[in-house]
Amino acid sequence: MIQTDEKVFVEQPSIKSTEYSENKTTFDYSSIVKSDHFKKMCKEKTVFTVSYTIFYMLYSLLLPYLALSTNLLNGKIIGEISWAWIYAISMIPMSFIVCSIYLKKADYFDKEAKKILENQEV
Amino acid sequence: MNISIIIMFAAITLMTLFVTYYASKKTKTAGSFYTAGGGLTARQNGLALAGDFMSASTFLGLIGAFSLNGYDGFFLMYPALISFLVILFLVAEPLRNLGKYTLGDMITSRYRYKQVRGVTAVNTIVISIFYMLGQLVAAGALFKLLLGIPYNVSVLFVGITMLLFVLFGGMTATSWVQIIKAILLIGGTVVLFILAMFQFNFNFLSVFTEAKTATPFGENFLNPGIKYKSSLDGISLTLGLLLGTAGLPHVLVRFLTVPDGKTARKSVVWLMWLMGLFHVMVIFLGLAATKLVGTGKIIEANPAGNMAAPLLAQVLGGGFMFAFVSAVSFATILAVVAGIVITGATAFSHDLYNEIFKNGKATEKQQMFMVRIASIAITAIAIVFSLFLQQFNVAFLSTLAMTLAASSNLPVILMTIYWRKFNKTGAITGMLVGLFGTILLVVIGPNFWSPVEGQALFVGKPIFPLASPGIVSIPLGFLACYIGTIIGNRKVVKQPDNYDEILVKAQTGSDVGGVVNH
Repeated sequence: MIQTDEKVFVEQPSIKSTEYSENKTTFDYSSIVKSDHFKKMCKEKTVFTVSYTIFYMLYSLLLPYLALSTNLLNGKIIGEISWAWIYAISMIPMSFIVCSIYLKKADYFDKEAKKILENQEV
Repeated sequence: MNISIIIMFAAITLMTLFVTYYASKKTKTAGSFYTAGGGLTARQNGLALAGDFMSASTFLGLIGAFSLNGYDGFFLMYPALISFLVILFLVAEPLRNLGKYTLGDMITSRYRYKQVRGVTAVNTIVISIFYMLGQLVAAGALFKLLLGIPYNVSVLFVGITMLLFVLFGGMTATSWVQIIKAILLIGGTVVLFILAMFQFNFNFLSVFTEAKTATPFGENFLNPGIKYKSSLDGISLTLGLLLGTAGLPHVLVRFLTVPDGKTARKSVVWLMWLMGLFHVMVIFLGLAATKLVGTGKIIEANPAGNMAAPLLAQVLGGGFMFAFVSAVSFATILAVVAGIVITGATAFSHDLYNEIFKNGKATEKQQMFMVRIASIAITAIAIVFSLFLQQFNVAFLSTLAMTLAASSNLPVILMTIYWRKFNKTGAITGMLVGLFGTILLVVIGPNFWSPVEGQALFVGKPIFPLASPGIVSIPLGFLACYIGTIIGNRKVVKQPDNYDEILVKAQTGSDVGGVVNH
């Protein structure tokens, strides 16, 4: 088993740098990863992604709990519409809002990534 | 069977053959067959994603669920929308930046071992077949209900029609059939929605009041708890649906049909808007069906409520609308099944045949031949199983495929992208434990065992209490990845580490230019 691993390892292409596109642009991935600019972008991305993911996951998983185990959402607001309906329907605008925030933030990260790659082109 | 239905079905079949004819001219290489050359725009891929993901159970099942279970219909509906946030935030862009044709390409961009590729490919094929079974069983049951065509004939008809355009048109034809189906589905739903709301004078609040009076549940119809009693079961179901989409191979492969991460991201946004709009209409259509068709009539036609939408269409627009809804359902099933087959066949031809058996040296001709053979084989296997699973619960088969995907694929995808220490052993362990763990939990659960005769396959008390095992199987998949990684890192020979490369590519799309012209 160990021998198999070793053999495959030898057959692997270089992992230091890889050709980019048809233009033969190469990157030194190790130095990109070590650069402060890249570290800063990754940290910002992680904070953004993790916080929003926790938010929308909790928002979604809380509904079955509140709706099926408590009476908190039973109160009526307009006609037959209760808080349970408002919460459930709010999933749709919530998704649109979170989605729009992501798009905006992703544009910012694209610009950062472009700068990082331009600075690191070999 | 009325003449409108025959005309509509013939129109859909001719349309798919027409699309196939044009697509076949562009499908000359394996790359174009697998992923349509990676050249779709965000709008095209967003519509194709909608066509790929919004199955007959989305259209007929959700309207039926709201019409019979009132509020509880939400538990089947909203996780699907939120699941695309999971894809948007965590998976879509890194997958596009690292992958080429298959999920196996993405995972092996980090672990270049045949074992990893092989397990990923087999996993893809198993999940695809399970998901396809759900669709084919639904097709058979649906056309029997809608048109009176025998179950076996329906399954064969759908399988063969779909196979024709997959074989000759590949991913290009599949994508265009999915796009056209999405337009038909959403367009048809809009027409039905306007006709239904006209009956309530566009007073949206009165839809709720009147639906409540038309059901035996009365006041409770609009409250949670008619179908789902336990919040644990509800959370487990929600979790499986929320995370399952992000592991479904046929959905993930759609992100490899676009040129870059930015287009992948925008296509998710297109899908989410389409799906959100569709979901709003579905709620009102379900409640309108309760009032205008009647609970008794819906249950009489099909106890699961699958006939609520066609019956509502008949009430609102007579035989023509009934035929139209039937035709849309037909197009829906064709598009979804085609997406699944092409994904499974690509995993076989590209991952197993070309990369493993031929060491990446198979010719275009050999790959094209093998992908077509694989398409036929996968369709044949699914058709044969479908013929024996006629009495099986369709929703269960689809949910099982989603939970399998969430438990076996998703942990490996996320850890490949985001965890530096993750290794080959972790990837293989995670996928196998996720896959077999989920199957085991289902086999010892209430879907297989029930104390009441006739409610499950076997009579007896289930060892595992939850019908949807996601709440246990998904953490199990992640745990297996972790334990496998710890064991792998203890080996004397260090596994190679190219995480720097993966991290940069996933986060910046630095290498995606090289994939554009594949």
